[in-house]
Amino acid sequence: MTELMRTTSATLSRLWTGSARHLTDDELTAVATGETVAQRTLAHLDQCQRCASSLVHAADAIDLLQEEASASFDKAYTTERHQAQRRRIGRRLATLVGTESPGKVIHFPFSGRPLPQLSARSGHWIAVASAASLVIGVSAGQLLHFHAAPAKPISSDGVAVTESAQTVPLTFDMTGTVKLPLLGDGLQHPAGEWSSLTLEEFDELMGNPAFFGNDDLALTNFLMSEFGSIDALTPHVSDLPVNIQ
Amino acid sequence: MKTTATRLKEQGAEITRATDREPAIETKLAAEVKQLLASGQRVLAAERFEAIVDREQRRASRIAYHYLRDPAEVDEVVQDAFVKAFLHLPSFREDLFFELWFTRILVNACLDRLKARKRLARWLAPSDPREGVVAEGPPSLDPSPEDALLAKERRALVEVAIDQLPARQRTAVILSYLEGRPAREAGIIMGLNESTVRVHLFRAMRKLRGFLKRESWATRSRVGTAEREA
Repeated sequence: MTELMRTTSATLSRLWTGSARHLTDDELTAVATGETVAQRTLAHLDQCQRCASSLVHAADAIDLLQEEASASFDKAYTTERHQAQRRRIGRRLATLVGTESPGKVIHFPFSGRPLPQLSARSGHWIAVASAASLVIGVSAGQLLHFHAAPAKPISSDGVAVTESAQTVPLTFDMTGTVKLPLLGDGLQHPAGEWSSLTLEEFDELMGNPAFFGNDDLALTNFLMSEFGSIDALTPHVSDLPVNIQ
Repeated sequence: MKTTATRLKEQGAEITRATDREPAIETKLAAEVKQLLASGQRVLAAERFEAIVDREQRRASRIAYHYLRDPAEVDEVVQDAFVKAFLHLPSFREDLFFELWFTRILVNACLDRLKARKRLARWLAPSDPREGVVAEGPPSLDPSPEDALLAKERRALVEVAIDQLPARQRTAVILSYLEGRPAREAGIIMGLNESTVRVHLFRAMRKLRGFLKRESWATRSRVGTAEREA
């Protein structure tokens, strides 16, 4: 009975002083970093194997960190670098208080020249110059248009008429014959000659689709614009001067 | 959006509330510089401020290096932090701790730089990790190349482990474990409660341990495989 009472009393005492519970992270860290800690914390560490082990691990890790970090810094940050940095700080402070001028800036070759001042008047010049260039542009365009090839008269089928065909008048002498100029093929019929046809023959000729030629028909009816220029250069059957006598 | 001066004033108020130790010599120097600036003696003020630079420069470089790992960037950040501190010194209160105030400026600058680096990384193609392996300078004069290699690998592992921590845990580790500041001061610099800093520290340590254990196991298994293959 006495033994039981003693044990219970000891347990209650430990609970009362707080040495029964394990140390918190806060307390362990405080001990590991060597800060001042409560007496009961130290007393707990003497009794508790688990907390003591945690403390040893933490202390080892801190030692390793301190050692390695310090070595790394000493290796990377040499005395020369430290002195150079000190000189730069001194120079910057001197620049701040005006005892030393800031680093010399090399100017570009034209940076010394003042930039032209833009005023309201210079704005007028810009407007005048724009208007003048517009007038010159429009005039030049008109002039170029004026010197271009004169527009050709358009025949009934919408194709430009050649000059030779236009100058040759159609003659109607009511004699029953029709004179057609021969288109020179360079072989049997030289260009510039005329052939006479009776009205019946002329009617038959006009009725014959082969007369117009496949090429002419194709060109006049063709919708491709690429052939337009070729078409304009060649005479058309419909534009041929017809002399009806 | 708060101006830098307002932010620094607020930080100063926190520092006053949270610390109870005697002001360090840097703080006295800072107060002196502030008076000189107020009286218009800027040249003299800059000269006195250089005494602060002499005392704080190495520590500042070390903190910045733990964040950035690039000496050129460390140079820039530390210079900027000193210049910013000098410019904002008129808003510094004499009853504050200069080193905590300055460390906060520096840590914020480092975090800003890291954010900018992340943004930039989105637009750049990843470089070849083997790049630069050859161009590391002359061979080491250490007695044992194998030991040097192992030490180098261990350092690289620790650096990678720290870099993988979230920003707050990383700052807590750098300030508390690597710079040896008490949790209270780290809390002031980070704008956090002392207990919160300790919790961050413990979680960070757990992560670091896990990472290092995993990596060392992976390294050992790689070495074992290579030996078996040989």
